[in-house]
Amino acid sequence: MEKRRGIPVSPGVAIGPALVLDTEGVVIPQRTVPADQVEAEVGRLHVALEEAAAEARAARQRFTAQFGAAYGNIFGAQQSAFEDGAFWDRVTAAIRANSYSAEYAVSRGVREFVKKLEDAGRRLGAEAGAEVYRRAAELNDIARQVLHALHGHPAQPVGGVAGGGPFVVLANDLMPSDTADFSPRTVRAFATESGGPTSHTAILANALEIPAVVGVGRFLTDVSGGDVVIVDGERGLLILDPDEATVAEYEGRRVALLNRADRFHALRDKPAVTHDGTTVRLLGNIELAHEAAHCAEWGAEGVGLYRSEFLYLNKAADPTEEEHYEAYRSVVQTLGPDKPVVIRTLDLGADKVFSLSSLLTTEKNPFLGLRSVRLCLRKLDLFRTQLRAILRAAAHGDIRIMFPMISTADELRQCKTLLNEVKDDLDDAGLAFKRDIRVGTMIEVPSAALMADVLAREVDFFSVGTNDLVQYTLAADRNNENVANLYNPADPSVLRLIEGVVKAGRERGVEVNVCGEMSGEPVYTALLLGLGLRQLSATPRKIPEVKRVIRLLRVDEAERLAAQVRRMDTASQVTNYLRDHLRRILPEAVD
Amino acid sequence: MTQAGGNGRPDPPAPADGGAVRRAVRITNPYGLHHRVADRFARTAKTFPAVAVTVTNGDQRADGKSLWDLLGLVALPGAEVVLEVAGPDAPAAADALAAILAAPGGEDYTI
Repeated sequence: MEKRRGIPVSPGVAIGPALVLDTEGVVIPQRTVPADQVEAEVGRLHVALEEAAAEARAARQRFTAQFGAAYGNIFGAQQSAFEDGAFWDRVTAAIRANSYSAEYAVSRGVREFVKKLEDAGRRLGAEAGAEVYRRAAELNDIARQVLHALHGHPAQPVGGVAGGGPFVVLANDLMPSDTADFSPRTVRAFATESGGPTSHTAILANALEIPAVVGVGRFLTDVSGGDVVIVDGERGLLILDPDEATVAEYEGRRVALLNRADRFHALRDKPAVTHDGTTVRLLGNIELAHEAAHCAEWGAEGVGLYRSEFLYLNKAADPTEEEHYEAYRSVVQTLGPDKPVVIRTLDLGADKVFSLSSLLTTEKNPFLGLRSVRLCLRKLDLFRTQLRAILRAAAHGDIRIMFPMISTADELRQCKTLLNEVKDDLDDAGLAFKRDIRVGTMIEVPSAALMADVLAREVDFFSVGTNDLVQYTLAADRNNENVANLYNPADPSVLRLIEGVVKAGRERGVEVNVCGEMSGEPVYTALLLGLGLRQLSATPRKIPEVKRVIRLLRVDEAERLAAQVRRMDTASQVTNYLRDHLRRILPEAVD
Repeated sequence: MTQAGGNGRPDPPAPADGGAVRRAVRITNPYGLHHRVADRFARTAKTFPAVAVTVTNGDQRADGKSLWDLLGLVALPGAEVVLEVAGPDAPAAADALAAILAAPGGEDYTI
């Protein structure tokens, strides 16, 4: 048994057979063959390549049917690698020139190729090196499959075990489009060697409610497909070859967690009302339209943040107006026409949008660059398409529109002007839409927080995006380990900004919501209530625990807590105080 | 041979009997010219059997119809590669192939 530590990115535990998406070594029997066997070796190689290509072709079809083309094409690329005459002709020539065995020629040919890649990667720096390492792993996997075919037992491609799922998927790394196609029915959990806590893969794992651990470091060489493994998404552990006692322990924990989930489900239909009778509105954050069902399942009263970016990612073309419209409409259909659904307009950099890739300039500091609403205001056609779809979908329910990364009143006014133009266009076209759609802005740039009283004149609601607000206020990227200690939502500077936004909203009758990760963490619930917030939006599965805390609190208690916090100088003082408080009211929420 | 700098800028029309097109394209896929993108590119290139396709990245040169060759370019995000297409369908092939190189995604191809 071996425990490996990684970064927990999606809670829950899972035990199951491994589905390994990577490489393993194969023994090479002999380097050379007698001269009269050379043509036989060439023949063996070609038969093996055809077999491997046929396996990959079948896996491509199977995975495309099950998960979509982006997933199936991983095997499509493998198929092409087996069928690539230019490369294998060189390997064949090496067999003929040196009387190599087919196995040795394959192994040597791929190894030399990989070495060339790695040398080039090293010259290009650390980041390039990591990408090249990923590619090298895939090429080694190509070689491995050919060697297996040469040995007469074709390598089992990933799909080969698919009959026995669901699996624990193990990989070097997973791309967002891969994870987006996972479902709890096919994938129990996953663990990856690389990857970070804020990657889209991690975000999606959470949304899909699949336990996941990333950044474990190299482990794929120590595990084979079908081995029983444990992923502990609570503690960030991957357990290889677990002993019986550990399996039993984890089976118990898995059931206990499910029971906890069941208990939370029991909270679903109870209102989010404080002990002294103040109602708090709890909404869900979603990435994909079908996650609207999770909101209903976990007791969210609607969608407080629909991140529309996933309509744009990994696409061969920009999403059409109809694609936007269908996605938004399906959310309304899932939740019902009277549930609020706040759609945030495109919040990406140009590099992620198909038609804008030509705009890409190498920005030294992309998070302070042309992205999000700044980009939309430069690419009005793209923006109009989304605004049209949102307005049209809003005819079917309580859809609201929200602009991200607003930093000045001018930007907000430009967005509203454009929205009015789009309404006129829809009028001219005779299309149904919601004229009096409610309009809001994210408050995630410190300038917007400081000017909230001015911005409040322009909108119906604010939503405080704490992830970016913390990053921009403290000028610290939480993914940068050298400065991540500065990134803290409990920093007094951030709390002052939030409090200012709440005050501006109250004076102007503008609703204020918090939709960053902070709102899903029970440790901050009392403080947010005490600062005056009455609406929070979080990942749906976080809602029951937040609701539970709300139901235990009194507003005057929360306000006293906020008053104490206001006197503190540092984030660590605040955090310690909040944890102590939570421990008193709900001990199991703090460990 | 026509020349066009920059990303996606249209080329002057090639002669009616085909000809050669040369374009510089910046790779924007967050993983660079990775396996699936290279596969999509090679598969698309092969749909133009009479056209010769080469891609160069710095001093590395690849046959655009060979997946391995394309991977050997080590074209990472932000790299500017040069696409050269010669033959009867050169302009159409160049348009299709340049779009694949310039796209930030496109792993969901069905070719």
